[in-house]
Amino acid sequence: MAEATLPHDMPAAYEPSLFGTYSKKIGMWLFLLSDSLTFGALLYSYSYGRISTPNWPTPFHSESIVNATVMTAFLLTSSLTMVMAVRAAVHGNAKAQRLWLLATMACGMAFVILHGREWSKLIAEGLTLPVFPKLPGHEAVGEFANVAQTVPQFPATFFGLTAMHMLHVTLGVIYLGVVALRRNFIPILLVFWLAAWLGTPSYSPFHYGAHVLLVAAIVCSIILWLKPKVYDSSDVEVAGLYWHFVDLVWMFIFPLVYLMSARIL
Amino acid sequence: MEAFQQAIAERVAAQHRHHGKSQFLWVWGALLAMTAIEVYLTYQNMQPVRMLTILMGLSLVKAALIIGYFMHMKYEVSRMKWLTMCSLARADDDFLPGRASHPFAGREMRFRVAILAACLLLWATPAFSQACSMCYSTAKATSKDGQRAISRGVIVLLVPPFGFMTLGIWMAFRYGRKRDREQTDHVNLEL
Repeated sequence: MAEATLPHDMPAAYEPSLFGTYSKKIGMWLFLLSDSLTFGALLYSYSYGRISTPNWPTPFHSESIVNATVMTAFLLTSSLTMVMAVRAAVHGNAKAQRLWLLATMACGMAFVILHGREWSKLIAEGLTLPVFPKLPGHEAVGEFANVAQTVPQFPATFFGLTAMHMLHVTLGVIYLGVVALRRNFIPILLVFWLAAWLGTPSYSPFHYGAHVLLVAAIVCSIILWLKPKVYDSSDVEVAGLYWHFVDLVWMFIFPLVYLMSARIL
Repeated sequence: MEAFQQAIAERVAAQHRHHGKSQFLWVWGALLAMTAIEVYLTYQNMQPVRMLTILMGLSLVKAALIIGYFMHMKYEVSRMKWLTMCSLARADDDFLPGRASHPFAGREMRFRVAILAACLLLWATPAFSQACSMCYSTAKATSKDGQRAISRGVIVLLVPPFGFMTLGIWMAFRYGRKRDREQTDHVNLEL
């Protein structure tokens, strides 16, 4: 009990912190615990399908494995840059903090772009979902054209799980952008939205998915307008918890989804 | 942020200042090395079950390193560690791939019930902080009979929620048994 009680030099009017840390951090941990249920359920559904379906497809060739390994390296490196940002924040070095946060965002964006490339490649090979726009001229010729009909669990669980993770990484990049650049990040986010929307063909799911950025820009504008503040080291640390969680989840998705469904010839 | 929260945040920041860069670089290197081992194993065409066991083992070690060092859990107070980690273990216990084939096997089920019970007990930890000083002093000021009556009152108040909970669990088990029996009969008929 003694280790949890605070300080002794604190005013007696306050109740000591039960968990020895500030409320924001405990709140983020509670959110992460609840979020782990979401990912747990998605991982379970993928694993269950993998075990119970005899003709489970193995669409990941050597090229996909290399791509996913590079994505993993980017995510692990982003975690390193994130702890460096927290370290800079607690030392009061605002410039280094901002630079490390921008480096983390760059790694996160590289991850999303590589993941998008992987998705596009699989969709071009015929692996798709009914909700995705039809790809002109590729329906019948792709390597996995029949998979969506014969094993619909695979595209459903694969796209569901990886889309949820990609959404988390995207929101993480936006979160870090707001912490690092505050209001200055909103126009940048709008430029990203326009680039993603106009830069992707209309038959790509990312053409519509890009609107997440627009919604995020509106929400961030409202938050920053209602509660403008300078983010301190505790905010950076809490943002870091979220970012590391996204990294942590990928440590299970990468082996379960990619390595266990690899086709190495 | 209110003054007290600010003071706690300052103390946590002071803890962070003691961490050197080398520690983080070491963890990052270990994570990359384990990822490289995972990819190497993929190219070895191992037996799937063995491969899955090794991959999950490595993933758990990687997760422990991320939570312990990057997420700073190693340096939190023990109550925080136990509560979050038990909750996380309980939350994801059901979802481990090995359990998918036989989710309600006897020994595993008992183990999971034990984890659930431990987590429920740990979740009650914050209740220790609810020792309202006014209630306590009022109760203490009453006579022995009065104190006994309060204790009995607390137990009586526990009866309805526990009763409902027991009824609910009993009904769930009853429904589960009935469903299992129907499925077994169905399979036997098909055979």
